[in-house]
Amino acid sequence: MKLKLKDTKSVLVLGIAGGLAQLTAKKVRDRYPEAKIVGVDARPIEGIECDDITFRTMRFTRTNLERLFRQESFDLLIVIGRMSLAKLGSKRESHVDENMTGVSTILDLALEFSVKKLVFLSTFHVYGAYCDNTVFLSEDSPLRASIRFPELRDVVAVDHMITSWMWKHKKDVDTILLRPCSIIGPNIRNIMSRYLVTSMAPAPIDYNPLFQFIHENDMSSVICEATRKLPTGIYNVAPPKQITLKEARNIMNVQSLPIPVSIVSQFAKLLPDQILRIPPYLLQYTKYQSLLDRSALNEFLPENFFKYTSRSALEDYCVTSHK
Amino acid sequence: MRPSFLLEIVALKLMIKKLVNIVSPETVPELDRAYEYLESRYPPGEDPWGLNLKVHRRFLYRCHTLYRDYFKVRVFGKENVEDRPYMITANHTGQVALDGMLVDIAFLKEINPPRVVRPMLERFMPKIPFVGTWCAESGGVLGDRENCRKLLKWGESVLVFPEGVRGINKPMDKFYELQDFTRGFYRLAASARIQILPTAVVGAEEFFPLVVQAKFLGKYLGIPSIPLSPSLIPLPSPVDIHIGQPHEIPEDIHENSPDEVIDEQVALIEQQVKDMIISGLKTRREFWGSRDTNEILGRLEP
Repeated sequence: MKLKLKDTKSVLVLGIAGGLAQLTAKKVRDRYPEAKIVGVDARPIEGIECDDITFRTMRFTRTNLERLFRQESFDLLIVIGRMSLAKLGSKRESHVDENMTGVSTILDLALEFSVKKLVFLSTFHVYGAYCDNTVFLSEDSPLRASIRFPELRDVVAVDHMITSWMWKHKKDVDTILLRPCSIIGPNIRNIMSRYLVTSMAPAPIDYNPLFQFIHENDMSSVICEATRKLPTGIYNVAPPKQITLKEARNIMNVQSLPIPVSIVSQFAKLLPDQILRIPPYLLQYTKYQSLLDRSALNEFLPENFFKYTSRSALEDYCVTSHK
Repeated sequence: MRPSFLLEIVALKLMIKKLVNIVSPETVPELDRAYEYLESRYPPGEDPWGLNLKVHRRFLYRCHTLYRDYFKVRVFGKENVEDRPYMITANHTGQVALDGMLVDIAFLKEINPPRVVRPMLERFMPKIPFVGTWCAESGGVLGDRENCRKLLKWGESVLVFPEGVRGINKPMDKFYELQDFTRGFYRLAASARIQILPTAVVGAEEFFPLVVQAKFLGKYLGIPSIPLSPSLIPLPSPVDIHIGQPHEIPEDIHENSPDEVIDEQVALIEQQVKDMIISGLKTRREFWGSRDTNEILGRLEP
């Protein structure tokens, strides 16, 4: 039951306070000019002024979401972002629980209110960074992120939950799960974006893994196109070409604090945030690479769909972040 | 100031420059042409496995003196190599993986068209700080089935040592004895339908003629073994690299053929490498640290 362009009357974008969600919402509005676009977030919504997008701030409780789904009959649901541990200020257990409960509620309501297409954004972090990672991890690779770092438990659990739900309800809903590489850009406030512009952030001297960076514009275009072109499934999202972490920080033109990450990572959890400046789990990603295989996505979106390579995305980010 | 003092400074400067140039030369004419060709084949920066041609070039420039003047490497069987990717299957010798580096230089310098062979690394290698990164930048790849398959698909030639660490960490009384080849490399070659190039490295066992394997120390450090030898640096044992006739995978053999079928083919390659080691030992150049060739041949020949 593929959603036809003309069928789309109402679109819900969850997580609209984020920069990527706002970019995506604008592109979705341009793609579906007849549709009503509703953006919802629990955080205050700032930085976007669009008359033809309706914004709502509310907590993601079942009651609130149910009311929203009853009021609007959504055809298309785009879920971007998750609640981060730092922002919640809660314990790890309740954080995992809240994220999982939140996604579970969204999935239940999507089925109950006959949403035709769902697009979820996951992350490449789910694969984990290990020295024995094969080059180009396919979508079938095991999700090993939480083996070493319990703080990534919710990311993996939510990804698993969506995947099993997706296949179970394949006949009723088209569900797309995107696992992008590091998204960067002036509107993105994720950990990697912040790491790249943070002066004196720790940079390993003993490792130099390869990274893939996708520009926020490319990523929002992929999400937008996913609503039309991608069938149910999981897709890694990465631009052509990769770049080493050292080179990435050089392009960003920021000073680094050279550290032997093999030693520092042993006691990273004991270090205060002001010294480490990045979450301990990210240190693991500065040691070993997890490059994504994008061949599944390439079947539907050609390689020249991406306007930026990893390098040009960084160069653009460097220019815009220094403005 | 004495005029001779100035001359002494100039002479010292020239000497330092010459020494630096030996250790880290700016150019090696024998390799320059190869790199000119390779630069057109590899994009700038790193390939997905981390190979950086600039780093590879710098590394091989430094090692070339070792290859040419210290180990005095000779390569036989160049005519067996065509312009196509291969799975180069070699014996593993010498306690430290210098044999891989010598094969790497040989295929870049002596073979036309030149190529960067991609050695398959043991799983513990990428874990080691500094070493893992340096290995990747110099062309090494984690010895993983998927990696190997993708490299072959990319048209790269891979270098495998089917003996694994059992081959490189041999005790003295087993020098030049081939350890059993594993089957994995053959199944991979069968899946990629690629030719196998049996290769024998002769002479490298005597890099460290006296050696003890400290397995307990290796276990403590998370690696299979640490060779302990009174000679801290490898001795200048002349090395011969013998490249054999390529082995074509029979049409009826595929990746999932039964073990017995694969074993038969693996034994053929093992025998071919063994034969090259024996014939190579007969024609090798001995040096003051060489072990008795007749004694070795007595052990190897039936």
